Amino acid sequence: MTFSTDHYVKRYFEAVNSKILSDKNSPIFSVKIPMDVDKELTHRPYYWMYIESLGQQPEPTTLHLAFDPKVDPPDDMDCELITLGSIRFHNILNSARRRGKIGKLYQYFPPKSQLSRSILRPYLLINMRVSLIADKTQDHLYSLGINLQSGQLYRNFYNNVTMFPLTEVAPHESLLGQPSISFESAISIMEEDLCKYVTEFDNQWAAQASHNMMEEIGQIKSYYDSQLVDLQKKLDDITNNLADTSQSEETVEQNQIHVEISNEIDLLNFEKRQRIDEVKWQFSPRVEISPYSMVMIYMV
Amino acid sequence: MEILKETELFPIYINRNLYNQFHDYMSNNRTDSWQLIELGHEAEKLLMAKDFHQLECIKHLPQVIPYPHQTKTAQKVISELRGRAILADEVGLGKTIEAGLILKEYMLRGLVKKVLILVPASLVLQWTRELNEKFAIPATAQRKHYSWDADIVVASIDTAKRDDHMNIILSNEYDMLIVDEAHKLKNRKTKNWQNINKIKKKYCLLLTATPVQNSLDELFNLITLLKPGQLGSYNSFLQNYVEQKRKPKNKEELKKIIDKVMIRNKRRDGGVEFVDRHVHTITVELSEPERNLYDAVTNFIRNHRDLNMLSLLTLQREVCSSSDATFVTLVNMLKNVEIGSELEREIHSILDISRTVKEVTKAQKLVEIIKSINDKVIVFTEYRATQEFLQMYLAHHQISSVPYRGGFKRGKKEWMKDLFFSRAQVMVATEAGGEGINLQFCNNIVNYDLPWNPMRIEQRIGRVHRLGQSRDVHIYNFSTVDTIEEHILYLLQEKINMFEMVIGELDSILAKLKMPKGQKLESNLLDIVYGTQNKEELTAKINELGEKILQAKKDLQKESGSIDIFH
Repeated sequence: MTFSTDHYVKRYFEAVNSKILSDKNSPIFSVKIPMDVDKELTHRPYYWMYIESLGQQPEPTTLHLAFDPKVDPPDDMDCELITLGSIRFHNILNSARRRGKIGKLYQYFPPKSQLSRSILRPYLLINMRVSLIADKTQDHLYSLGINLQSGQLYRNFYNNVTMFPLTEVAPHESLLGQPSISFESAISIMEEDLCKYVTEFDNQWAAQASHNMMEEIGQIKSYYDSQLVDLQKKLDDITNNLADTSQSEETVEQNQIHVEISNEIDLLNFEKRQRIDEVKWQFSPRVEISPYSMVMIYMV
Repeated sequence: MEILKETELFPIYINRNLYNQFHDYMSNNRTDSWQLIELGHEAEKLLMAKDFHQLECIKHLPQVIPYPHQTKTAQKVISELRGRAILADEVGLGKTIEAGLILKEYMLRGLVKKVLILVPASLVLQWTRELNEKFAIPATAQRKHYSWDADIVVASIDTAKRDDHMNIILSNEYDMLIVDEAHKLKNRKTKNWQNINKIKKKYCLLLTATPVQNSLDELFNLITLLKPGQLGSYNSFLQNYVEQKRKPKNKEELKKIIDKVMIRNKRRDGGVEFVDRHVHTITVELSEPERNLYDAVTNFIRNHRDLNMLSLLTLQREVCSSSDATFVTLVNMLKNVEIGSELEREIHSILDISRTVKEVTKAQKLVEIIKSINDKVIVFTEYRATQEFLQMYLAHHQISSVPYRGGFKRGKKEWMKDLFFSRAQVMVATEAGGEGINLQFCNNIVNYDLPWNPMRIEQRIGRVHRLGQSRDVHIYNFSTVDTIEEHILYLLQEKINMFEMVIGELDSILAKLKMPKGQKLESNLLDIVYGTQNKEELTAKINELGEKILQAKKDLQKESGSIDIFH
């Protein structure tokens, strides 16, 4: 898949109602951005605090963006190069994620067609990221749909549904079928299927991570335990000695050593626990599901 | 995140926030635009980690074109070393780039957010800038107490170890800890080692070009920071793998274990192309007044071995550098001399001679060389007075130059580097700065005077002869006929061939000779200079010293199989 940052960025600014100032074929894309978009793309909270405290309406920012490193902008233009890695581009991606979450769509029919009078059934679509996480990760994008009348589930729903022409314009209310399943039960049916979906994956990754974790924990334990055993033995010897002898200068010294060794044992135990906790933190396999968009879709 | 289900192998969590938002939207009859929902979906697709092993970060980093060994290292650290590793490439192979790639990869995958990077004070700004500019990682240099709150903090090790700072660090949990110049953590008895050991961390990278310098213990201590028990307990480590302090046993087995925590790329492994070095000697004949001054100073030193050795040593070296430098030191000496004494009279008479030096032959030659190079040049001198003199002298000959000194603040160093890059032909530097700036855009070095410590020469060369240098490097040395300098140059260049050595080689040789960092070699040279009566004897002694170094080099090569346990 080749991804065009150029195409993506232009679509984004259209979608957020920014005023595009440059020519269609210009190598530099200039756009005047509204304040709310500005706040998401330029990281300058203090500036906005200042502006707001003054009650001013600031002049909208104009961004000049280039997508080709060979572009040579005029000296007086503050032009930035947008690449897959640039912070600005990531701000744009995140802004799109924040702004594109929840929608409602209707199957589109040309006005004169017979089907334009059909009753549309309600579906709920959830797009989500499923992350398999241990010391390494892998993400899957998963899309699940449910017919809110029959309760039937459709996997890979997003790709299937977007093959049909869809519109954001609602048809007459009388054409919209009513859900017979509540939102809550729809969600619980979907979540049940999600669990099934996740357990259908090859578990190798989790088994391997657990194996690695046990291996690392074992290594840590044997490292600390061997030292702890030695110290404990020393400590016991001293305790025995102290029991045998009566008060003297020597015992004061022995007591001192006793305290030191006890402290050392505490320290080692503390360290050992911390190292084991770190390993668990790093390796414990888990799956995290993050729904990122939900859409009501009405279809025949 | 709420728990959805607990399976035998792992729990499944789900983030249900979106459900409520959906509910609110529907009841308010509100929607996001379909176009944005599609763009959001494409963003998810772009940002997801498609594979456990594949490096995702490369395509996100147009400002970095990593060398193959760097990509391979990053890949291996993540997929095989499980994110805890010693990056032990030889100097100049780009450990910082490797660390940056690894960090970026974990960040893109959402596995790392909170990061602590500990580096020598002189590198704080450079690290911060490289992470921001090359890797688009929003790193913050630690300056104030509240800096610790930032997600990604670069701090100097010495600042971090102060109690008030350490307490903050220890109260945090870091997804990733990076320590640069980690050979400072070789001794587990030190406060530094113990502090680092206490930091709570998930992933950890230790960067050092010299994981073992004096003893295999050092390796054990470094590895214990990463993975305690990797080499067994300390006693079993000694038993199983150590024959002598520097000599391992069961090498194959040891190597296998170490390969699981350490990656060491070497120049000679190939894949990394290095440019050639060309060494030029510029012979200088002293003018009559200069010769008089040189002889006067040399005689003075011979007759006054009872005086402060340090100032004598300085004087001896300065007289090869410039009459200005000599002048300053002599005037300073006068301050401690009894008024009206014989000594005072002697010093005054040398000062008088130094005033007769009107033209500096070496400086004239320097101007000739710079003009013939007709490109950027770094001129190194040991002395501040020489530096000032040269700057004036060059300006007088319409050659633009910038100064560079160890005493400059970090910001000023960077500024001077930028000026050198954009405006000036010459940088006149008194310090090569062990861990300082990179000047790969320049490929010509002039050693206006020679430090007696060859490590300092190596540092000078290392400024320009490193990864990223695309042109051959030219080194110009001055040899002033019939002076100490001629002998030193003979020793370093003809005898031991140090200008041809690989970076790092000299360090090992000097360590082998028990002259760590070369300081002892300096005093050895001084002894030779004063202990000999004539030129023949001096030459013989210098030759002897050279042979000793050569022998160490040979021994080192013979032993390299056992000391360098990694290949």
